[in-house]
Amino acid sequence: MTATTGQDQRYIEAAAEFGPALERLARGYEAHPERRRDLVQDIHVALWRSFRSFDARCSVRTWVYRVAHNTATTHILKERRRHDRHWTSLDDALPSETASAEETTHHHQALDRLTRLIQHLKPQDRQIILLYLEGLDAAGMAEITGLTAAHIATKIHRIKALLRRQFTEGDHHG
Amino acid sequence: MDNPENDLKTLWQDQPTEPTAMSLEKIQQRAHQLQVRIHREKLIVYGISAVAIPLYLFAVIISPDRLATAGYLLTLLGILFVLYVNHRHVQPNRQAVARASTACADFHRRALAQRRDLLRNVWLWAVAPVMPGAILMFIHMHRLMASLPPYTSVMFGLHPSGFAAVMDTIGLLALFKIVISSHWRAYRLNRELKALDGI
Repeated sequence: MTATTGQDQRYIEAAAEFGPALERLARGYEAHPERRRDLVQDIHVALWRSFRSFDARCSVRTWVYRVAHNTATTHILKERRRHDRHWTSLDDALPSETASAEETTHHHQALDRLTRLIQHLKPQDRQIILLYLEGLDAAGMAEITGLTAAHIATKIHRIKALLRRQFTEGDHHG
Repeated sequence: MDNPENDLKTLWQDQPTEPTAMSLEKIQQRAHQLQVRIHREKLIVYGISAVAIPLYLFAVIISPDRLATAGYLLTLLGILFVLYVNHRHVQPNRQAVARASTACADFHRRALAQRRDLLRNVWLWAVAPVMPGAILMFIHMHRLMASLPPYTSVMFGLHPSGFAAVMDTIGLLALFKIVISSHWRAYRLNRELKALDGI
């Protein structure tokens, strides 16, 4: 197997396994549909390129998420330079609009609110909440982000509190 | 929602996604397009230099005034230095490897630090190299203008030397604005970096 076919093969397998997760990840970073499609394509190109130097020192999953989040972070930092956007931390994120009970029980609206919430977070908090929602454990998240397990645990605690605030208090208020 | 965290995880993971239909050919094509775009941007800079460098070289050779010759020569060296810095900064393949091998927190930190340093040093890498030559040429220009007859007027009744002084002031103010706004943006990035380091 030549180096190029190895790179292609690894990419094909990773795209098949993580394609939908990469789509969801892009939704957390970019609200505009056209720019989001561009971001997804950029992530795929970055992934394909990166597999040329894949050395198996970490799992394919860690590799894929690192490439994807780093590409997406570069994207939002560039967008911020153009549009002067502001992000909030997990602690400062306020319940968006007060949602009625009907609204939050409807999956579509709940998903919209969740996506909007993620899109306003700082890059690091965004990475963690997206990995959390994808079902990764604290160790996996720590390997991808480079943060300590203790720090990840604190962040997860805050994410849970934030989600509870956003999605259950909204029900009661409505 | 009884257990909002788990419900939301399921909701997130089960959301419909459009398949990203990107064949290997399309990916390679897009990677190639990116490379072409970077090369094109470089070519524009090199194209401008290809015109500017011979012009300055010609001016160095034919200028009868020593001060002007020194000004042209220093500006030429400044342009070459800016070109070298520009050439070194654009390395797309290195970026692709860095994205995979660097943990997200470090990558974010590095991206912010790189941008901060670029903004902080805009004076050093883009303005300072051409300044000595520009100053000498300004002095030469002022001497030339001052030697013109006293009632010569170029615009708004200004004598050429007065007009040159106004233009110099506008140029300096524009430079000052670039440097100040770059430093302000660098300061904001530095605050962001400190917040990340404090974690």
